Amino acid sequence: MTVNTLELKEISKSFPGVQALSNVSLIVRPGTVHAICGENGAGKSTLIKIATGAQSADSGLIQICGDRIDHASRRTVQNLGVRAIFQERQIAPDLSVTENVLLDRLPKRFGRVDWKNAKIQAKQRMDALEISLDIDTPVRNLSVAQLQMMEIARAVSLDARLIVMDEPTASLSRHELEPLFRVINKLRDGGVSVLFISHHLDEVFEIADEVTVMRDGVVVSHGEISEFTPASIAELMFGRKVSSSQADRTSQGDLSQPRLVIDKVCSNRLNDVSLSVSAGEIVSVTGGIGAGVSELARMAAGGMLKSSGEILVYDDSHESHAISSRRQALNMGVAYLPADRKRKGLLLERTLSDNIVLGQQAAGSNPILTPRKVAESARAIAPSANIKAANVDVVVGTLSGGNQQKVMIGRWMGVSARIMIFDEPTAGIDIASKFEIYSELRRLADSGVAILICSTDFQEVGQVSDRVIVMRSGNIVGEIEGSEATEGRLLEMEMSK
Amino acid sequence: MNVDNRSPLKQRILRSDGVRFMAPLIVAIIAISLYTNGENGNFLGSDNLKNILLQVSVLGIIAIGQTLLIAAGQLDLSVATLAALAGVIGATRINDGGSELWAVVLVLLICALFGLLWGILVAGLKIPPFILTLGGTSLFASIALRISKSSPVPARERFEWLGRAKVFGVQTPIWYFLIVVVIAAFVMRYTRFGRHVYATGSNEEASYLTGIPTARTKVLCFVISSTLAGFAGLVAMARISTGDPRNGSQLALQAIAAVVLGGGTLAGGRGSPIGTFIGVVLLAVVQSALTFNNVQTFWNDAVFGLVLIFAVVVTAIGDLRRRRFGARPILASLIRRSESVRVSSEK
Repeated sequence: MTVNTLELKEISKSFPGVQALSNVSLIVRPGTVHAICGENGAGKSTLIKIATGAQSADSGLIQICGDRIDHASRRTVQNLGVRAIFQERQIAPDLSVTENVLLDRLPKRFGRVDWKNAKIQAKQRMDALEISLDIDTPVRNLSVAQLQMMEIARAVSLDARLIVMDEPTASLSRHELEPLFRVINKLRDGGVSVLFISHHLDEVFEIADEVTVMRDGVVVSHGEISEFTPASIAELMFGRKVSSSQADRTSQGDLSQPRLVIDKVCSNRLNDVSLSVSAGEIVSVTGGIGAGVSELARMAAGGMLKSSGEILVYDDSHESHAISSRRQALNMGVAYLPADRKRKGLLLERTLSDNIVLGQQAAGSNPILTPRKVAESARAIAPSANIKAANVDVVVGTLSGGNQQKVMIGRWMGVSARIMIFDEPTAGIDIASKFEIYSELRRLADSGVAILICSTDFQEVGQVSDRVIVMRSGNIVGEIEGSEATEGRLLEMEMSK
Repeated sequence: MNVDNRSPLKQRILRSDGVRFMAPLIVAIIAISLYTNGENGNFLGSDNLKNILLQVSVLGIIAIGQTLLIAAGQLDLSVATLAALAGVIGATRINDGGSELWAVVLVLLICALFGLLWGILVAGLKIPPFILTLGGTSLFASIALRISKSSPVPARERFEWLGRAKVFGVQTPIWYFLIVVVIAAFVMRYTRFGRHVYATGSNEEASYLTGIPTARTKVLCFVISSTLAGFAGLVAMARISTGDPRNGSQLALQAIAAVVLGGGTLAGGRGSPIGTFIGVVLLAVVQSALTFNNVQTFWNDAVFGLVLIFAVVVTAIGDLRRRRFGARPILASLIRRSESVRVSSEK
């Protein structure tokens, strides 16, 4: 009998008010790809953190390659060949790609860092994964997706026996998945196991050998992938049938009324970008890595300097106001939801209530704002945002990714935003919540809000938008009606020219 | 799973910053006071209590300004020498025959302008406040020496209302300190500005992207802190009727220590005026108790250091237990036992 790479037995973990995991067992066999599926808050991230020693379990047993681990720490687990890639980036932003890839294993010669060798090693690692990054750039200049590729390059070293990935595909666009899957296949052929969390069932079926489905902190099913169908997994995850029909695209706003006009905007990443969004309309901007989609979102919200061009917001009497600062944009009713919620969106160490009222707090003008008023607003907004939490006093950093995004959306529900700009609205969010968010977007649009979505998820863009604009390296390369925006069509537009 | 509820009152009280940071300090204050009073019955006499507060009123006013800055994730090391400079300028104005009121207004205005300058440099050019205000420390010290020609400036027994008069039997500096604490506590808890300060300190980028005027908030914190430092300098000068350019060089670090004792963290987002008040009082009680117990004075700094180190260690352990994300496993395993006990009792 072969020794299992990872064996978790009856792991339990509770946080105040929440039983995150109860008696969860999991076995990862050598040379297999094992997927964990589950809704937000099902306990997937907690399980992975325990398996990699980042958190400790209340009870249960962890075995790695037959060795029983009593007090798991990141380092002991790592030394046993388990490498982890978390959703939270683990990087040193000021160091170069080379240094980050080889972070704790820089080659030394005569007690000094052997830079020549280091660069060769880093290059080899990345070539093996077919990642093209400049190995000398400081990591802070990389995009979210590029960072992830770099982190994968770091994790995939020679001595790895198990690679654990927490939603590796969350921030990758469709055509960046191929290299990732190729690497995973290579690893599997070499006898390395991969344990990963994914919200995309099609990916699970494309790459996984075995699946474990979780719901509310318990394992509801596990087995070979051939025993499941996407529909059966979805049903297990949610305990009910989920319809994946497209959000209705019924109403069209009054398109003669542009709300947001971006006019020939240039910056160091954008080149002569023009577009307009009308009241009641959902316009998406999409593209691959380096297309400048995320920069455009931030620019449109007034949070970034532009070298030329204008961003105009039209008020209800059709007068235009040029936007040059985030504060100005807010006063014109422009909401912004950044992709990197943890670093750029939330006050992680503060409570749900503090976070959800932040929009109102920023937009309001009454100098007096009592804790009682804050608690009242929070309690008024929280239910409509459909957040799963014990109460409004929980620390926001302890919530799951999906709930954190709902807090972000709730923040702008309290302010009557006229224009909402989403950067990757569903990054790291499970399927059921995704559809909730899509229909929420449509509801907002129907109530007259102009919505600009900047997303690298082609599938998502096709589902929610009235119009889709495709970008490549800072330029707009095409525009298409939402109803025609299939994944294939968008990919074609993005790749051509 | 009902978000429209708040957590149970008992839990909220137990987890509130007030209980977590202040209760241990209050216990320490009471314990030290009772012990010293047992050794020497005059410690808890009203004269000594007033004396204790009087000793720290100048430090206290500076520390309140520092509380705002630290809550906003900023820092100002230059407040001590700015206070000395303020005292020197005030005394000089009187010596030259100016009116008291004019001297006070002039000093506060100058200090506010320096605060504005720091704020604009920090918020506009993103200069780290630590380095910037370190430079300011030397600058102000030098200007104060230049104006006073390196010797204390007598203030001709003026400014009685500012430093030596009594209201209801209590010296005015104590009143000023208490008033500043009450106003600051109100501002931080009940105003939009106060919440902006905490938001900016917690996550400046997120606050900015939400539309909170983070730059304005930071500038205002520097202006308030510098103005309070100037006022504290005037009070210190009025108490001894002399503008001493070398007065209170330790005040900046002591003020930061008091804020940290009261629950502030240099990473920003935390700290409260009431906490700082209790921190200041603890420092004063410790100081006074050392004198009462005839401990030789060279131990003073050591005890000050130990109190501070002890306080931050206790806070850090509390944080580690409270924070469920990103805790380092090595340290976490040290406290694992206590955590599992606590979790099971909450079920």
